[in-house]
Amino acid sequence: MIHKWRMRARLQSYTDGELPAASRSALAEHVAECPVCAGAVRRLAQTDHLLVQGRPMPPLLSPAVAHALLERALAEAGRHPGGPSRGWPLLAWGLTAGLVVAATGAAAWWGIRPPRDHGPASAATVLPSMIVTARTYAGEETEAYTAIRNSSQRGLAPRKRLPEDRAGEPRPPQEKSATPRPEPAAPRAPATPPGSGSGERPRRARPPRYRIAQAPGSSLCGTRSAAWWGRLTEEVEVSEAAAIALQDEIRQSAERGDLERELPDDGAPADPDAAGATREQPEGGLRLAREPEESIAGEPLERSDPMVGISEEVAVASAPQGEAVADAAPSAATSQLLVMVSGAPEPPGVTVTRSPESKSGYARAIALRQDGRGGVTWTQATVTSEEEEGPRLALVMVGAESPWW
Amino acid sequence: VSFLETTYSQALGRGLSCSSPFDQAGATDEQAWLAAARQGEPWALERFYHGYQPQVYALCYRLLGRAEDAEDAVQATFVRAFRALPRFRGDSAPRTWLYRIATNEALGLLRRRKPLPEWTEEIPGAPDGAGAVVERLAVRAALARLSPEHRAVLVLRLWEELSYGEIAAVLGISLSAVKMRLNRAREQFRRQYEDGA
Repeated sequence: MIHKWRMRARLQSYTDGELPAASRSALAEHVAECPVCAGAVRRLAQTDHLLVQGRPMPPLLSPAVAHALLERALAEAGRHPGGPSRGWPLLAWGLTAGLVVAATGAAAWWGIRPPRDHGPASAATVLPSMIVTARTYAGEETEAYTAIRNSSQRGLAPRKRLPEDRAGEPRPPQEKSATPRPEPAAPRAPATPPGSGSGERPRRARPPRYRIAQAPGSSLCGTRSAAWWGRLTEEVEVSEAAAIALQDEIRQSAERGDLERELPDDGAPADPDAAGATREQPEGGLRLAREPEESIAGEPLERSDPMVGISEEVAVASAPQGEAVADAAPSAATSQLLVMVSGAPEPPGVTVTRSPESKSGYARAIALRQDGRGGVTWTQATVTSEEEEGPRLALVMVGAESPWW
Repeated sequence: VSFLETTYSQALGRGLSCSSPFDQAGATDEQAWLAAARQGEPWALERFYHGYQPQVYALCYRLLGRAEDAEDAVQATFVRAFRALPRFRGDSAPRTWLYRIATNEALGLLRRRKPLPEWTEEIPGAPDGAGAVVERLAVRAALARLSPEHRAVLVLRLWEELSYGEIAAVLGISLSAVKMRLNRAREQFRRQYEDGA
């Protein structure tokens, strides 16, 4: 037997499926008999498995950025009608630099992080963005994180957020954290360290659970429309006692007058683009004006610590001053987020993407919305956990305008 | 069906104005708009861009590991493509042709950029718990320590799922060179991964 370079190349072609059928079957017979070749094939397969597992899914390029790249490419290639063929004159660069400096200063004044300059400002870039951590409640073993991103925001690259209080592990340093990290609101049960345990752990059958996340300035489960919330809980049928209790709590809050505004009777969402609107609060809005409960239906509620470690990324709204800020600013200040994980169908008006991976405890939802100016913006939530099994469905509702998602 | 395809198709299905390479109508008349793009028709160039930009962006992101660099590479790729389209004879598929340009751009960036950064962004596709995430990061770190050529051939084969022939066309090398490079790249990767583990 010749186990040299040529044989290795053949084995590689074999594992890659690049051998003709006849050669493949002949080699398969050989591999079945030869432990050296079988070992080589196994090693190749292991390497490929590792690599395939590490395959990154690129973030979705927002339509606004994609368009800006197109415009620039056309201009630089000299294909843009009326555009410069090769570069800009010095004066134009100077003006651009001045505008960038001014915009950066304005952004700093507003206390927001300035986005990178990516071409002409689009109306889509005024929508708020946020990254929010999330955890399960009443989950003794489950940790989850949720990354919310509004793709039309430049300069808000979502960063991986691992569950923070893994047993015995120090938290990674937050280099850019501008403010001290708040202490956790409640002690959490330690999660299983990654990679621990040699065998398969038995999994318990668990009922569907809520996963609730909060954005700063928001109240737990406050939504724009209680009717929408009601539909959600009914249609999604996450029929735990907690769901009922939560609805009751909202109702009781309304009765006690804790809600800042009652929802309209029909619960129908107003047109988000109607009449421009510098809304302080969304019309027909509903917001819990008090602190959330510590428990629901007797189960302790594990609140997410608002913006732990990611204070520099909170609620970015990069709207140029005076330009269509009305839709964005109130949302950025009072954005509310709810992530629910369930196996039930999504309610109308919510676009949900089921995870392509059927792995445990994974769900991703993406919500797309036309911004009324020809663009599309989207928000994505990813929920993972180590414990719960099966493909899941995450319903995402972000911001004061979320009923239109 | 990839996540992006699902997302785009949902957007299209709901009547949103979202250009997509997965638009069925767009796929059928590709030859027509490709010919118009060669003539420099702005609408066709735009169609050409929207048709291939997601794939090119994904490739650049996987080669470069950073969204910002990937965007730069996409822009540079389409600048070159728009200029070269009149000379594109169609000997290879447009995607392969674009991949070749994009890979060259990305390799140029990779060679100029040392050391290679590890992925700094969220892992949007994180399908399971933190253990898998850590392992995935280790894989990417090992990949980032490879030479740009070895990294490229692995990305094209295992992440972009190109055939040997397509890889040869994209990298401009022979089939036997693809096999040899792929073999060495796998070995190098394995070594780096085990060293880092």
